[in-house]
Amino acid sequence: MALTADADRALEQVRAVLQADGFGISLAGIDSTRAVVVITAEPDACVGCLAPDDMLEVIVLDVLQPVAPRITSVEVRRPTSTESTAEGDPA
Amino acid sequence: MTVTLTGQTTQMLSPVPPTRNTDATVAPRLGNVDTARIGLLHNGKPGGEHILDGIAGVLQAEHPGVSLPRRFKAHASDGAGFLPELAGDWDAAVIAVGDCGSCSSWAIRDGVDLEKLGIPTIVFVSAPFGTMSRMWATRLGVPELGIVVVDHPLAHLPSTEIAETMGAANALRVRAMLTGER
Repeated sequence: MALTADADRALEQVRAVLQADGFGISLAGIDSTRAVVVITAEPDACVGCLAPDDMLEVIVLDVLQPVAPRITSVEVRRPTSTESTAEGDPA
Repeated sequence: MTVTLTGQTTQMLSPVPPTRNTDATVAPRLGNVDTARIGLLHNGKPGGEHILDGIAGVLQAEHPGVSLPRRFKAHASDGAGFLPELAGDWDAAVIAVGDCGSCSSWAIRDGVDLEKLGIPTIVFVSAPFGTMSRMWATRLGVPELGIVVVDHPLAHLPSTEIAETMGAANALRVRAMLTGER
């Protein structure tokens, strides 16, 4: 439980970044070596602005490892298209 | 590491993250910018062109012999396939602007690719993405990539304000970063 709370606190760094584009992030679970995070989209989220998976995975891993050194990989679950409604244009 | 003490097995967990790719370093800095070809790469995000305008204005005034060719990306959130072509044409590069999660990740990726081509590069990103951009550059193997962080949001600001407060105001800093001035 403490690990999960620590990990969730560590995600604050990533959460602040994602919020700029209208997204949230939460920790879905941690097993022996892997963390699963879920990205959620607010109604006005910029659909095309979400960072790519490879970047999110390494950034989340970087912030989680100090509190959970055994984690060596991260799975990012992105919002489904129906969860994001704003037509943001990344270009 | 596993340590056995009096019949009990304890697993020791290292607090040190896995080894990062630290093979790459930044490209050599310019001796000066007097006659340099400093490429200005606009990724298509609104406001980026005005940042580059502001930088160009100051550098041109300070160094009449500098050349400032421009290139544009078709999509901010995709790779710039033409980067290898620039290796012989540009002495340095400035990229603007990463102001979302996706486009900032690609701007950093382009900057890292240019550094690996031997072109010292500065990337402009907006405030929410500054820390993430540094982490990403580090993971891509160029932890010392030049990153300038500007206010966010910027797309709605008047072009003259962006050019002045984000471009021109940072032009000499860009020059210093490209030449390694202290």
